[in-house]
Amino acid sequence: MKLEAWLAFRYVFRNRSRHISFISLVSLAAVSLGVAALVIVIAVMSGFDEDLKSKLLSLNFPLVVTLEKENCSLVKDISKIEGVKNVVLFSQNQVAIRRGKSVYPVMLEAVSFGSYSLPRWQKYLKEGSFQKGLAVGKGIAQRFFLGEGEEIQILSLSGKKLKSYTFRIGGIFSVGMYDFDNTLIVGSFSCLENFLLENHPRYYLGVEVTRSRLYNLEEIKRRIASLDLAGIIAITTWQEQNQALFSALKLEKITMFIILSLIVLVGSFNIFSTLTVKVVEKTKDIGIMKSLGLSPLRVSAVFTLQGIIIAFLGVFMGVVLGVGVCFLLKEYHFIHLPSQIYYIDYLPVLINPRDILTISLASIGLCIFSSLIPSLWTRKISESEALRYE
Amino acid sequence: MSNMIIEAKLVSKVYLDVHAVVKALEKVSIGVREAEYVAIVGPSGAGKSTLLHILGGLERPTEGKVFFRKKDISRMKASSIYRLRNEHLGFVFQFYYLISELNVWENILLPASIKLHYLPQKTRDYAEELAEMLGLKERIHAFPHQLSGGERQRVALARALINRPQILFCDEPTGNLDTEAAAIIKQVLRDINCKNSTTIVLVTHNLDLAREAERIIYLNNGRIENESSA
Repeated sequence: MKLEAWLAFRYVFRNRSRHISFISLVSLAAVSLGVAALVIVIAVMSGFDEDLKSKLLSLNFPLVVTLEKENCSLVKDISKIEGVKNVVLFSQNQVAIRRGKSVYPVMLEAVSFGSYSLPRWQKYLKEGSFQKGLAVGKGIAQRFFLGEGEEIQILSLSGKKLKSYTFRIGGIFSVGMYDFDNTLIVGSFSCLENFLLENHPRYYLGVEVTRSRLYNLEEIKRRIASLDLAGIIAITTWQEQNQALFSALKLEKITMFIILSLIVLVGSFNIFSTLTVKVVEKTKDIGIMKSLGLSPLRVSAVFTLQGIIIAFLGVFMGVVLGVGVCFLLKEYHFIHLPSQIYYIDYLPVLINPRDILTISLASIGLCIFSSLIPSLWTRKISESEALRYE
Repeated sequence: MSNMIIEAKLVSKVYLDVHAVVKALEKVSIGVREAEYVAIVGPSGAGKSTLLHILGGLERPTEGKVFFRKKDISRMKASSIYRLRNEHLGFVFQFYYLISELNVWENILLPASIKLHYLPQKTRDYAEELAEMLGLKERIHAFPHQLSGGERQRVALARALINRPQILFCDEPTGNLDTEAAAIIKQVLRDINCKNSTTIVLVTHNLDLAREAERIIYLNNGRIENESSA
């Protein structure tokens, strides 16, 4: 194999001008660009995915236990389960805001602003405070021209009666996600005491878990269920709550991988055409190598190895280029997104070594497969025919 | 006939063309003794190159048998033929067929690299000796496109000799060379035959070169018409 590798290396890198041959360079560039494009796009998609997950987890709980009624004893029991960091009681009610003649549906959430929940919410507060009254999402505030200290009328359907409540706006928050900023109003249990008494809202327990358990919640879910099934209506994980979103993201990532693999496919087709041209161009060399006693298998190995050299080099260069661009994107945020449309104003990037390995292996496999066909053609070239005529 | 190194018995070769059936050789029998210098001459299309290719195992005959040291190479396994060509036979062609990506030194050593994974010092010494003998010592790092026709043919000759072949097959070795370069090749072939006792089978149009051989075989229309000894 030493001779075959050496000959392959010479065919790729040494032409008359002692430089890499032009057709090899074109194939190399095609593979590199394809791999770089794949690395960048998959890193950006992973970045979006990760950013979205961290945003969802910053306000949503990894596990939410839906209760039949307010049950504070369950908080203590769940807190004792291994892997659970914190348990928070909150309630949610579907209500509507009335402002003049317009009515707008929102979710009213009652939270106990203790040592755990307050810092969790505080970082999203743009003005005011949670202690002064209700905090409304930035989208709602902009829609109804609301500001700190203003009053807001909330309508709630309790039984068959529509009731109206007036609250003062204590602050405005902005999470950066449409659902939160445009549909959520948050208030403390003390602020919403009367409303809660009259409206019998749904109570939930938000369960915060350790980082290692974030993607493995089944055990905790099973243990919570074994505590008090009578008082629990449902236990849902954050993945289940956002299943449609994550499925869409996953599908999008797979689709992008397949579509961008077409670039690598074009690159590998370039290897195919390069080697085909080389086999035709080097018919005399193939003839002389065979006449000197190099077996057809070893001759075809010379050409397969050329494809492998181009594949490895192209993939390596593509990964370096792709990771380099991702690093620059991550450090300098030089591509700006309109923050009014997207929840983020720059392209988030997450370089996942497993993604890079998958891209590299798939690309190398595709390129090697492309080099096999022209290599096998060399076996059909008869040394006698090849050397008979100039 | 006991010291025959290569022998063809009633060898025929037919090529199937789209338009016609071409009979390149018709029941040709020829024997070459060890250390003999044989020239095959004849007009274009007489079947000279075909006979040389069949004797050298580059092609199989349609009919008949070819023996190398009494072994039938016309029925030999492909892998054995490749080994035989590498270890015991050498080839020189009209158009040199040097690998343009390799320099003179690498081209000369190519058959040895096919045979051995690691080249021993004695092979390298022999390559140097051949380069010296063929006047290539100063051109060892040059690439084929930097050489003259005569130099290229000498490189091809050195490459054919590196594995110390028992038979050297030459197909029009001076066909592309000027008189001066052809004279050098003629002298080198004579020296190889005399000093190394290498058997030479030569196909040529050049009667001056053919006269160097001990025996001249005249081929016409795929048949041997005449034989003459020096």
